[in-house]
Amino acid sequence: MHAAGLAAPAGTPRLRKWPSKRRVPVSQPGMADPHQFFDDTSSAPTRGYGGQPSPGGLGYPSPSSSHEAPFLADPMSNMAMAYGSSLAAHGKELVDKNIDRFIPVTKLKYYFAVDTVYVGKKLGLLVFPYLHQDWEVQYQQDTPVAPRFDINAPDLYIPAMAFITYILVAGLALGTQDRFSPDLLGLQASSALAWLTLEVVAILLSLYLVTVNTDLTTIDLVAFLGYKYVGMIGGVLVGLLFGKIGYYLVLGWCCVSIFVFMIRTLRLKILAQAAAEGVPVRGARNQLRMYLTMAVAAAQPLLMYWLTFHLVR
Amino acid sequence: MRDLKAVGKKFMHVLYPRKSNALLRDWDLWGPLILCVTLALMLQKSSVDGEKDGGPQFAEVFVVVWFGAVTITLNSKLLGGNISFFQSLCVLGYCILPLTVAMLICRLVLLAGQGPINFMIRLFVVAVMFAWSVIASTAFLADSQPPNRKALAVYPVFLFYFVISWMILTFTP
Repeated sequence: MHAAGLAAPAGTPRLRKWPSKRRVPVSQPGMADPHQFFDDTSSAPTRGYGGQPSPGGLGYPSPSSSHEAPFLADPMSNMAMAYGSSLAAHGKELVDKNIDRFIPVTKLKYYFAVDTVYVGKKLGLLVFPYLHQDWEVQYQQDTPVAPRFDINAPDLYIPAMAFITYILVAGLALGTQDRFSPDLLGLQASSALAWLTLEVVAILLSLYLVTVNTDLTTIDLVAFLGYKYVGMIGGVLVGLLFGKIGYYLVLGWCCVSIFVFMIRTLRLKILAQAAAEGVPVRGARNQLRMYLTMAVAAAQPLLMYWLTFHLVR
Repeated sequence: MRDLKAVGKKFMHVLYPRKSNALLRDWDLWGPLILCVTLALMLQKSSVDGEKDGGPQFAEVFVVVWFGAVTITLNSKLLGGNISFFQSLCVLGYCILPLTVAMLICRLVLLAGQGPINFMIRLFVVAVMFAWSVIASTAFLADSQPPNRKALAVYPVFLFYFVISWMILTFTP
């Protein structure tokens, strides 16, 4: 089941590329786009060049005015083209079938269904979550509404962009201290990624141990944990401009905001419905869940400080 | 010869970005490859003394450019754009041309010795070329997104060219 949004039909043979290359080998499934991401949506099957259609290396001595006549007149190249395109289609189907096993592409598309207004409001919410009242994600016939329509829904665009921006800002910060070299960027990236993975695994493990029945998926968790990079970027940038004082001020503010944000968001996901409405429910399980929520939320400021303090001198 | 002419035509389209589909319709990756190799060669630190502080190695520039382009393309596809993978790579690669020109100019300016005025000139040139690159690529890429998501697709492009501009600006032979 492929996402309906992508335009080109599957298995479109790439006719238009063949007349243009001078000596293209016949079977090149690698040339064709093997994935729905790689669909060739460019149009214009005809080319303006005086074609030299010699796929098998047969030379046509002079470019003809219409490239179609000598091309189709050669049965060998015809057959070869058909074979090549069928190979390409077959390869594409194979990859499409298997890629969904590893990366849930359609699920990912939900997390990227954002728009500029949502991103703006969400960034504001991350920095100032104190006035927001309703933290419930709206549902529509059992499926959560796309992030575009509900500010409480998690998305992956902000965490992904924040992560990349954080790595670049870290490189910038190291550069202004003359400690930069491009492999340090890779080091920063992999260490931040390792911490993120560790966090996700730890939280999933504790959720499993506490036997919480929650609809918090792994991707949701990655999204929530990725929001702290926004605060980190802000802190480091201000630290570059105004020194340590600015860094501590902004980082402190962002730490508190992320703490409140996480508690309010996770409370709805992890704690039972009754407790989420503010009614204190007795029982060891709810206490455990509350401690878990607090622990997750408290880990965020710690990590924010840990990953940025060496960047600001 | 014909491919060379196609590549040259696309260079012209990048330098004078008009509303045309030439870059998108007949994509090829020769231009980006040439530009990337040129940039990487020029950015290499002439480390005859054996230490590798400051300048990126050839492979690092290559990796940054191609992985950056792939990331931007994935982002654009996930956001729901209707541009194909290789078309996007093609556009992003060709729009490195202004920055390559900036690199050449910086190299020439650096021949006159270093100093604050020197730095100001280089900063100005790189900034102008950076703006040109971003504008050229958004002219091609932003059309593939609905209007309420254009800024979201443009932001990673901005970051990408910023990184390349940073590498060019901090280059010292």
